[in-house]
Amino acid sequence: MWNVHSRFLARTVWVRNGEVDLAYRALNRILNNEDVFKTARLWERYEKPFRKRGRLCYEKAHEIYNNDMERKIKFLMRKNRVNPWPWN
Amino acid sequence: MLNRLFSHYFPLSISTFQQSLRFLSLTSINYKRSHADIRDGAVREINLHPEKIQTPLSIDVDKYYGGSGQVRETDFEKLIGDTNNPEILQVKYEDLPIVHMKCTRNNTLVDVSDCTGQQIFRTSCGVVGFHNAKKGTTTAAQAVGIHMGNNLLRRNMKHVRVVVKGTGPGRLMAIKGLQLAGIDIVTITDNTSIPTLHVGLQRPKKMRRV
Repeated sequence: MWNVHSRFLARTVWVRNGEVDLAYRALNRILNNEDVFKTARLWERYEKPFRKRGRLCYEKAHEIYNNDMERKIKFLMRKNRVNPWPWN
Repeated sequence: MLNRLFSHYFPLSISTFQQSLRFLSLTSINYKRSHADIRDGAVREINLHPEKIQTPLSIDVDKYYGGSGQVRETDFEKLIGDTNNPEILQVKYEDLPIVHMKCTRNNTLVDVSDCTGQQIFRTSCGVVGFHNAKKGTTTAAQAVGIHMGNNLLRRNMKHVRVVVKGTGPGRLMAIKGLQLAGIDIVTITDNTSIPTLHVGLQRPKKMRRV
């Protein structure tokens, strides 16, 4: 559907009760969740293949580390309970 | 004996296991009931992810994301106008003027166009009186917003929809400037260009090394 108004169907947000701040923040949050700004920043300047490879390796390692850390914290928090031997 | 043999393979596990067994045997006879009670997990409640309290600054994004905050095809014929003044005609959403904002790192350009796309008026930070590096600041963007707002009021365009393009310092402050001038912003859309991979893609410039 070729229409001047077709681009208003996506990435738009209504402004309610004159609260422009909230609408703008909601829009920003949606765009960040969909990594719109990240891709725009990456394609601003050309990223050579050797840098791209390094970035992907770093991101994978970062994810693995984060997941393992969350697992560890969940496991250790099981120790945070009422003292089962209060008489000691 | 066994402990010593296997100590260098499992230095920690066997000794603690034996100790815990001994401990259990001592305690379970005298304090059976209490131990059984606690064994089933009297866990202190910890809120690792507490529920977010809705303050004026926090937003429920789900309302906007696919909910009533999103624009649909049926909304194009929605009437927008002052409900207090029945004399003033209410305008359809698709007939509202569009304010484009291009927010680059060094400048913000703002222009107004008809519902069809014909340009009416345009400003930028240089028009307002800033020079060189000061054009790429938030105060300059706010001044541009106010300037544009005054011009819109002069042409009797109170209700407006905004399109923002690019990431830059003037992204929010230009919209705020419009609001300060007294204009009713109906929607905010984002039109940042996301280049997609295809055959005719022009390779961008090389990286900046300073």
